[in-house]
Amino acid sequence: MLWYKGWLETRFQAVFGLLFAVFPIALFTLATPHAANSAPQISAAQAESGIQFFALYYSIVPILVAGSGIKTQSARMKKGLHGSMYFTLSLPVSRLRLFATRAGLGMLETVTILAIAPCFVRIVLIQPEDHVSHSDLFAFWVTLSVCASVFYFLGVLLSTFLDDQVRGWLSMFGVVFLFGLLTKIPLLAPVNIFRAMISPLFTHSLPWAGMGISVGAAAILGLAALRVVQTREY
Amino acid sequence: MSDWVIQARGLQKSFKGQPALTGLNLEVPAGSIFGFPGRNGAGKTTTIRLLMGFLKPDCGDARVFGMPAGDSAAGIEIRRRLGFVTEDKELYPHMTVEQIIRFTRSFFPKWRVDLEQRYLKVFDLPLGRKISDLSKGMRSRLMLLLAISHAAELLILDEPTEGLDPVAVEDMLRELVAISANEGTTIFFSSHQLEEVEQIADRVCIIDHGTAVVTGSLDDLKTQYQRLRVVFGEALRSPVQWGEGAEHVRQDGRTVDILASRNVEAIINQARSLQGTSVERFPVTLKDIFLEHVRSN
Amino acid sequence: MLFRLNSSTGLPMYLQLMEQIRHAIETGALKAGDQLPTIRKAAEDLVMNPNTVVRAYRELQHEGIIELKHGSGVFVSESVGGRARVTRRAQTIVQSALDRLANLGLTEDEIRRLFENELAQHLAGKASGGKNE
Repeated sequence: MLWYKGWLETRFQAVFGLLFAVFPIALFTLATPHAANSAPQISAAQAESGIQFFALYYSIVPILVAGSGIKTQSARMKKGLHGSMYFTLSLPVSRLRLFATRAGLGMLETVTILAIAPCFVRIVLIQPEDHVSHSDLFAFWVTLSVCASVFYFLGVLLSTFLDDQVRGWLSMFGVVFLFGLLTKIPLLAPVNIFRAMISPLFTHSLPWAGMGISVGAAAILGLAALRVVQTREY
Repeated sequence: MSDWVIQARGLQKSFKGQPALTGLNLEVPAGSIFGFPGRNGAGKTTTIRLLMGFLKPDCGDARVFGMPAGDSAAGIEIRRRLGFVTEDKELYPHMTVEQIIRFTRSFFPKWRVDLEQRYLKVFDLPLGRKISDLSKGMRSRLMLLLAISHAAELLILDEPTEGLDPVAVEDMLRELVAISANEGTTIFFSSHQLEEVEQIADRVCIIDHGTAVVTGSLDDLKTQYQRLRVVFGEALRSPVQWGEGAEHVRQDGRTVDILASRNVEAIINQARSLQGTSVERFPVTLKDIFLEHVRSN
Repeated sequence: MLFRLNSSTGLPMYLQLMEQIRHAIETGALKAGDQLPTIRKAAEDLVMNPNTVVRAYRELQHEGIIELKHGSGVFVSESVGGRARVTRRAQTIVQSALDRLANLGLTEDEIRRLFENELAQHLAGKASGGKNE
């Protein structure tokens, strides 16, 4: 029943993440109904950096969803930083299991919401001549999810020692800052995670190296967060 | 006695340089109702958090059911066998009473449906109500239901009657006494309501400034401690060195008030030898013992 | 058990319970052969620690006032009838003493303190096995 409890606690965040994900589609559909016909010609490079921006945008989703470690108190609740945390910790459950359930649930929510991203790309950005197939879009979803896990676990790690508000803003600035660095500095181009995310749309294949590095980084962040949760005092 | 359900030795804990526990010893025998009274900030909640494994001590050793309290593997086994009521009585606000019962039950294979049903009735808990709509008193009672219903061998309760009206307090005390009598459950509870401790506890440990100042069986303490009031014909000219056992002495003119923990006869003889014209004895309440010990610190 | 015990009088609870049971026997509320509640029931009804009830019952058993019948429970001894006679005589003694003290001009409180003080000395004297004056 830990999953159900986790859902009860994160559902508002998840819905917000969903709205965040759907927003660009709504915006585009309402603002430019005839855009498909009158789209200006842009170069491939511009298209690529434009889509990278959207990869950045969708990378915010896991941060919005990233549960507060194993804390069960939302920022809105009054005093008592830990509140019902003590009740949870008094149950015969290991902190590992509590953490794993929360992390698993959050990733599941993130991956589900990120399914919107390929839809957006399909509806808004792709012209028929780009030859982007359904399997490319699916690959995009997979890549996006795998790479977004880095941001998810970053959010989780930060939440283990910061309260919700600070964590949220700090993570987002971190992501934006990272994006700025990666796109502006040519030297860092090979490790540009955003480029890896969108590569299935261009190369029509999975960026194994990029995904491998992402999984590695996510694992490190996740284990660090777990360590904090296991050893900290409540 | 190796039948200690809780055993703590020399516990020390500081937070940001401020000492919370300064060397606490505790021994709780199986089957007892053990009261843990202390002022606000004396270290009651810190002690309980140490026993529950939420904190680790800077120094010293705490064992529950003979197992180390801070150990993560042992901790799971310990928590399977004990029930806990937190200080703030916070539960999951989005769940209903029924949902949290089902949630908690899923962790305990040995759930006692008969106890669950009894407490639902006695505490008058509405199954369909959301926890965020419950008063603090109702939450306290719900937490007690959750703590007892999995057939816990030990209950650790942090101020269980806080926020309850007198009728609810009596109901809760009655249920605690019943669970002790019927199931042999050991009950360890902190409180600053001395009357409640005096009513149901058989052993107490008074904690002040992070250490135990008085420990023992409540009946023994109330028999051993006596208050003596001595009136002298004229005010004593020089301060008297009262005999061993005279713990707290107060003088007001020709009257001397002594709280004695032992050797009462010797002290009475001493008073008479000093020409005390009247020596009276008074029985001592837990409140007397408590106030004398915490005031002097 | 329609007793009312007070946890904050300073007198240990088990002594209070013993007193109240003795008093109930003296006034006839409990008669020889009557059954007392089980320890569990007494503890629950009076909201007091079960070990305290155990101790009270055990002390009364030593005094011969109550007895344990295997399997059936705890009962008031058959022999308490004699005790009641002694008690009635004692009541007469106390009544005349009170009259005499009142005639000396002592108030109720003074009388009560006097009795308590002398009784405490008396008990202590018995406990220490020697004179205390």
